[in-house]
This record gives sequence, structure tokens and C-alpha cells, in this order.
Amino acid sequence: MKIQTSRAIAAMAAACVIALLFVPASSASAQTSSQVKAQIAQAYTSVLSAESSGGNVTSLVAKLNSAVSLVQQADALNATDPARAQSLYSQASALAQQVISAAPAVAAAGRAAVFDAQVSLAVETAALAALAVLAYLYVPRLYWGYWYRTHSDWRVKKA
Amino acid sequence: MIDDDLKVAAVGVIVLIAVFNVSGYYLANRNVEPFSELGLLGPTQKIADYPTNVLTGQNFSLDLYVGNHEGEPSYYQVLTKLGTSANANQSVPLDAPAIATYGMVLMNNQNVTEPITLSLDHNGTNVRLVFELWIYETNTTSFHFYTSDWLYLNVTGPSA
Repeated sequence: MKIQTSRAIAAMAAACVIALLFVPASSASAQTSSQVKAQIAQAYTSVLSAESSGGNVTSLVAKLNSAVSLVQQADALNATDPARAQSLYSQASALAQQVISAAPAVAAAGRAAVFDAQVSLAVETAALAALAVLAYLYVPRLYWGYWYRTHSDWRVKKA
Repeated sequence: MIDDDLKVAAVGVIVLIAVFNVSGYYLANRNVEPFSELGLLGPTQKIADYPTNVLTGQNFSLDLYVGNHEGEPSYYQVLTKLGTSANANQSVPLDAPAIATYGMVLMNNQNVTEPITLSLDHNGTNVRLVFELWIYETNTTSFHFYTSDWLYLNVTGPSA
């Protein structure tokens, strides 16, 4: 019984040590330049998708440009100040992730805006068609009514 | 007879308005012939006053102009390379390592003028400073060469 308890304690301690070793490594994993560039490329793909759905991607493109700029700065600093470079890579990665997460909402808003624009275009076209029918039926009458009002004081002269 | 003319004129005007309305909706933001632009500007942001003689290791400034008319946002990279007059070809990328890389994402019909500062480490006469425009393509998930511009420089002074 005593042996089993000590084995269990040893196993738990080993598990804790392993967990402590892995948790910091995964939470502060180093971002490499190529990884962040791949994330930016993925973010760009999601921006294109949102834009093709009719979304306004101006703010996403601005964020993407900030990420690209941070990676350029980090690449320049990587050899001389790796800690600062790593911080810049992390910031760029966070921006790329923000773009990736925001893109579906922008795409959905774009689809809604496109639908609204199509509905208003259809309503405008239907209104113009109705106006064309009304014009066809009533323009001659309106014209002659107007003509009569403006020429009612005319007198016919004998030749 | 006049009645028919009036009907035709009134309906014609309305049909014309409808056609402009519908075509304006469908043709808005369509680029008939998509293209991108790469330009190299002198220090005064004009197509003039380019440096011709620079000192080794000394900084000099230029402006890169990139324009997007691809009909969608585009992700660009401009690679700066060094070549000679012997291998000048605008339609193929120069087989040389990039000495600097500039990235940017532009909206459709947007352009950017980016100031850059460079310095060259080796002496040389008629050194070709090449700027290559590459565009990211999502179907191949890689950058593809688009075009290039260059500038000839005489680099003088003690080699670093």
C-alpha cells in the first residue's frame, strides 16, 4: 500500500514537471519570419474572400499593412536584436490573426449590403417600368392639357 | 401622330435612365484590363533627379511607386537586387539575391509612394539597381514576378 502511494505521488510529480515544461513553451512559442509571413498570406486570402462577398475591407487591409511593416522591421532587426524582432513578429502575428477572425463578419456585412443594393436596384427598375407605362398612357394627355392651358388665349386669324 | 412621338420620347427617356442605372450597378469597380504599376521616383518624388553616383556605404534615398488596378486588393512585394547591364530584362526576374524587400497590400485603384533608403557595399561602374514587383497569388500561395524597373549607378569610394 505504501509502495503504491509513493508510486502514485511520483507519477503525479512527474506529470506536473512535464506539464510545467510544456506550458511555457506552448504559450510563448517563438514565431519565425516565415510563419508570420504565412499567417499574413492567409489573412490576405481571407481579405480577398471578404472583398469578393462585397465587404468593405479597408480597415482589414490597413491592419494587414501594419503586419507587413512589422515583419519588415523584425526581419531587419533579427540579426542584431532578436528579442525585439520576436516581439515585432508576435505583434504582426496578432494583427494577422485579428484580420483572419474579422474577415467572416466583414464578408457577411458585405453580402447583406449587396443584397440591399440588389433589392433597391430591383425596386428602382420596377418603379421606372411603372413610370414608363404611366408615361405611355398619360404623357399625350398631359401634354395636350398643358398645351391647351398655355395656348387658351390664342385666337385664329382669318387668312 | 404627335401622340405617338410623345409616347416614344417619354418612354425612351425612362428606358435610358433605367439602362444607365442597371449598367452603373454592374460595371462599378470593374477593371476591364487588370494591371499593376511599379515606378521609381527620385528624391523629389518625381521622375527626375535620380542619383547616378553614390559613395560606397553611404545612404541614398529613392521613392517606390506601386499602383493596384487589378480589380481587387493585391499583396505586393518589391525586391531590390543588384545586377549588371548585361542581364537587363524587364520580363524575367533577375537571378540574384534580394538586398532589400518591401511589402504592401493595396486596395483596388490605390497607389502608394514609399520612401526607401539604400546603401551599397561594393564599388562598381554601371551597377544596375533592380526593383522587381511580385504579386501574391492565392491559387499557388506564392509570389509571382510581374515586372521590374532599374537604375544605373556608379558606386565609388573605399570598399567596405
